[in-house]
Amino acid sequence: MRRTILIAAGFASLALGGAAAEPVRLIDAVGRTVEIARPPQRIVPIFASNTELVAALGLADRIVGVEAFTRFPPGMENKPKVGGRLGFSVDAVVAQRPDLLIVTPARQAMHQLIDPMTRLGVPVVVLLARSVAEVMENLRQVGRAAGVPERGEAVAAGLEARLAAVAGRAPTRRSRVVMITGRLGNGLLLIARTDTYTGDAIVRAGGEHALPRSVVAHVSPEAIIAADPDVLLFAGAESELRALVAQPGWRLLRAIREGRAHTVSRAQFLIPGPRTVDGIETLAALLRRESP
Amino acid sequence: MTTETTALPDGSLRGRFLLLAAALLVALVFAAMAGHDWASPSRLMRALAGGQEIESRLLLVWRLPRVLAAALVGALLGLGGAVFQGVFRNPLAEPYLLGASGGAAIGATVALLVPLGLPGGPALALLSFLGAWGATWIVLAVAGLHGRPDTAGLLLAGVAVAAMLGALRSFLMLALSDDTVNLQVVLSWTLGGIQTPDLAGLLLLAMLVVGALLLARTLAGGLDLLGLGDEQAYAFGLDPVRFARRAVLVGAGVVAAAVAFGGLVAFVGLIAPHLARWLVGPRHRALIPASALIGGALVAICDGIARAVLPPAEIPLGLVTALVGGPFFLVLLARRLKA
Amino acid sequence: MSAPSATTTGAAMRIDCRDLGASAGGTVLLDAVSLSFTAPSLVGILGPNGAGKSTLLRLLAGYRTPERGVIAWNGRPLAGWSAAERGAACGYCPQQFEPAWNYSVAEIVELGRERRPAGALPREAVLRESGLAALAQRRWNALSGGERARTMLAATLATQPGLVLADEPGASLDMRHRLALLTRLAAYARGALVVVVMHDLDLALRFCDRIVLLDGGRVAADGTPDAILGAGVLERSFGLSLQPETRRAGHDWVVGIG
Repeated sequence: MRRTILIAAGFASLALGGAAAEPVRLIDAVGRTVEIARPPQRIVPIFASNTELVAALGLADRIVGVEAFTRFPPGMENKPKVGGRLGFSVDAVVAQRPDLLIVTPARQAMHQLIDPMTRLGVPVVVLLARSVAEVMENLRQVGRAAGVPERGEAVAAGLEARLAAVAGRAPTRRSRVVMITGRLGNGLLLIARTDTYTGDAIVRAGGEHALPRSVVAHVSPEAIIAADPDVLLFAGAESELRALVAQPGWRLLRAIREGRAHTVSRAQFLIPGPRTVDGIETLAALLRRESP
Repeated sequence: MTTETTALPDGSLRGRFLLLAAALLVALVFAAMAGHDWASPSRLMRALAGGQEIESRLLLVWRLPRVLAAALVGALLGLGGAVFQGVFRNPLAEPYLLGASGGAAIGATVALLVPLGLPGGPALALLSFLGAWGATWIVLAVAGLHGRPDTAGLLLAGVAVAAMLGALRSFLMLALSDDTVNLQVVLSWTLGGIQTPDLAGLLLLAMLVVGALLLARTLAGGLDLLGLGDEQAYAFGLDPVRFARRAVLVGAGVVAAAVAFGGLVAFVGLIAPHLARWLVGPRHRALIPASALIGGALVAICDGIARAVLPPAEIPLGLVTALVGGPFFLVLLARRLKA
Repeated sequence: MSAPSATTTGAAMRIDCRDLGASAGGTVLLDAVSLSFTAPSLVGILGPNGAGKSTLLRLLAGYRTPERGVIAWNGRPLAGWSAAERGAACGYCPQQFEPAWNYSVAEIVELGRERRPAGALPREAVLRESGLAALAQRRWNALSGGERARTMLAATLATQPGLVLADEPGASLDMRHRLALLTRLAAYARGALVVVVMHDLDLALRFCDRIVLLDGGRVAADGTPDAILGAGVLERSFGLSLQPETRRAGHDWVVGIG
């Protein structure tokens, strides 16, 4: 009798759990060992980037809670919100009964959520995106965590193939590029730094950083103008770019006078996810056109 | 009440002012040279002579107007500080006592985070000016709820209003920001910093300084009398409460203009009048312009430091003035303890 | 100081107050005080501590508004005078002064003169007549108490006002200076109305044309020095038995021994 029950249980678990019946153990980006007992069915990805990673693996219907600023892929706005500009609500997260949390260490998410969730027995995977390669690895990591490692591998490999194609078409002479990602209240500008995935994306698209590594993220407009890049990129709206270059001094830039100042999509360059590859391809095409 | 000694024996006032003017000139030259790459004097001369290379044009179009704007903002702060110290009869009074900083920050927060459809630059300046000046009106109204307020009443109302405005501004910053960047956007403004103005802006700023000097000059006599004490000022033909109100509004307006163009720059309004009094004595007819000159030199120098220390980034101007201000007060303390 | 010239504030000043009342907290400071003063006259306001002398002077100067009663200068209610008019017409020298800044003697005299630049004596003349010429550039924190008092009085009198209200101007002066001060004020009072709050009984009896004795917020006596002495009110108010002595010619001061 016991044997029958055991065999029946075995068939049942196969039917329900698929191949990943054993717990998944992985090490996340901050060195934590995470154990995921069974493939998660209720995933809460904190931040738009993590949502896009999960959705890219075809697991959008397993997402049960998102952060307030997530808008892609379409439909995510309708998912329950677990946090936003004022921080994250442990209660709201718990209310969705998640069995996997994916977080990036920004805006208190890590501090507010890891400890409570771990104590409640919900596995939390922390991801970092310090380079484009790491973004690809994140796809694989999420695939592993979600119990679909082969799908993670497939998506990542496909994107990497596209990146290789772009690299193959790189111009011999790289354009010197500055990408402005934001403007502070005191006039300083945020730029894509060399040691971030955005900076990496620029290089992969065939560009070269006009400004050397800086200690702080915001730079003086004078430094940008003095660097006189070949191409000026602005992650934002056309109207904002025009307002910026109307300020004193910007007309000294060759890039402005000769029409090589362009806007790029914030979603493609400021969300470390699969759309970053779209951004790299678009930028590569642009840089080839403007190639000196 | 503290009475500090005048450092130098009474000599020619004109000589002192020439000294101050020279100091301002040196400060301007230093600030023009300072930056993420240092400009030698020869490069400066080339730029002024009309050189066409990008370094010269950048100096002339971007750095020089910024240095001038910094000096003008500093002049407003020094001037406003002298008026406030005169009204409150206290060498430790500073222009943000009556809530101007809280009000300005709210105005700036709204300008930076709420899409009002107004042109960006002027909106920020206008709203921070209105916020700063408006806060002072609120303080005057609150202080006057139960009769004509004396300076102590104004101070109390100022503390209360500043606290409430600070809380409101923090809430607005959190509630209106879209993501982390925008919180930083407003915070960076509150730390102070000069943005290179275009020609119209520079002219406007210069006219404001001239206007402020003229206005403050009319207050000089009353401020002197106020410094004798409320009763003695009254005895000498002043209505202390009404005059204090007028002086506060002028001082706050001057400070609001400075804040509109330079954000919240601390300590200059405190240090400049102090140094000026030490150099030209306590009578406001000389103190006010001297304070303006010193304030201008101070902010120009601090702006130069802000641009030069951490290239290609800048340190917020308010941080530099605070770092300069701290040791200044330690020196003051040492002198007091020795005396 | 010479008697004020014809450029003093117009016709002889007069002050009328009727039924004045003032209180602070729960304490009544003045009660039903009615007085009139006309120039030329040197009036001494005397009384024990807490009698309301300083309060009365502040009310007469307009620095404080009475809770009851009216005060008029030259027939015009005091409330109708602007601060500038008051400053020009009157020289009010309060008891306490603590300037916030380190003014010099010359600067303070200048500030006093600016009340009515047209009718003011030149600064050098003011300094000389007050014996402050040598101290002109000395700063406040380097002055003694007596020098400070003399500076404030000099600044007050610099515009030759037709009305002088002084609250214990001799408090920090030594005997010689106090004598000199009262001599000057008496001479000045030949052409102006001078009302002085004093503690020196003997100087008041010697120099004043009229003495007003306050006690417990009320006018206990009002008359010439002889009348006051004769009525014995001083002894009642101060609670002391007094021995009047006539000063002999050739001596400056009567000093009690034993």
